[in-house]
Amino acid sequence: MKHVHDDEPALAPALMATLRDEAPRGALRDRTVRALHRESVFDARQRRRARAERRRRYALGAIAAAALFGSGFGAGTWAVRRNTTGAAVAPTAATDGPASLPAAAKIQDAARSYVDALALATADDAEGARARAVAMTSFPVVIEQMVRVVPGDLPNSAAVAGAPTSTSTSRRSAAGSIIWY
Amino acid sequence: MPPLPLHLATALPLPIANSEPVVATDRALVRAILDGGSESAFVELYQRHTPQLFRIARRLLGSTADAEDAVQETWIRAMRRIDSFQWRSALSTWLGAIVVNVAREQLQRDARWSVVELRDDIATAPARAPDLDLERAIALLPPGFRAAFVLHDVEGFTHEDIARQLGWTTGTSKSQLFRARRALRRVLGHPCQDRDP
Repeated sequence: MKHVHDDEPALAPALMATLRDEAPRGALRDRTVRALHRESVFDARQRRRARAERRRRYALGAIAAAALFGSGFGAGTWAVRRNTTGAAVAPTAATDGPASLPAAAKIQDAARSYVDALALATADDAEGARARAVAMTSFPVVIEQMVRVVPGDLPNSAAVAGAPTSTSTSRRSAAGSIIWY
Repeated sequence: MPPLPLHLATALPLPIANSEPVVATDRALVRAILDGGSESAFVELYQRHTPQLFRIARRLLGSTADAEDAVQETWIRAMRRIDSFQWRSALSTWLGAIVVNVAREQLQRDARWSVVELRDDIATAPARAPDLDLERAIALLPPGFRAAFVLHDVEGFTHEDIARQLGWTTGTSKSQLFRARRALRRVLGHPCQDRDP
């Protein structure tokens, strides 16, 4: 009899001591054992069989769950890959197909050279002159490639019309015809 | 009755000269039942735990015959599910939970189970009766009070255990116990010394 962890006063121990403990009749044990025999509790072979069956069911369940997860994961991966490829191909298909991919790369390279050259073009020394020459050369390349990729684009056409030729020699005219984006 | 497996034969209580008898743990006995279908291991378990199960059932149900049925049903359910017992609590606690549930089901079947939550619960307890002992006073309590009192004060379960066993919160267990004690004091004619929780 325990009275612990309690903030309420318990009944007096003397009162609790008046509780009478009855015991179950001896027949209850035999009755219970007979009932358990009927349940095959003491049949070790059947118990093992039942346990093996249960384990087999768990294993099958685990395999089914793993297969379901694997197939779901595979399907998801496939769907993502398919969408990513589609997203990469879509802009190409919208212009002039896969052939435009190198043109886009050329635009990027030429534009990078153009911007790098612009950064150095203001200097008055020989390096500045070289940078201006590079800028003058690379700009038409950028425009040409842009026109190839998107022929009907009006700003591109205007840029082509206003683009300087690489043969211009005057420093002032070259600097004046630089187009800043 | 099949013989015990060799590894358990030494674990069961045996009179050994000049030493204390070695007592098999509940776990070893359960293992003997699971692995070897040992009836003697079950009988050992039965003798160890049935007195407490019977006391609980007897006090919750109020009748010896009902209590015996509940104890038998408890052992049958326990042995059916013993494979899945995880040993996170003592076997006695687990068996206690089963017998409480069996008793509760029986009381519910007879529409005798109720948890008194109201403030006027004391009115449900009879006034002082002469020559009433604690055992009979417990039998007069509403089942919710009785369960809380028997499990906590008589059998020593914690409020957490009781809450788990009966599907209550610990607060309900505490309030049921508090009211049970107050009702018992009233019934037995002791002055009410309790305060509200």
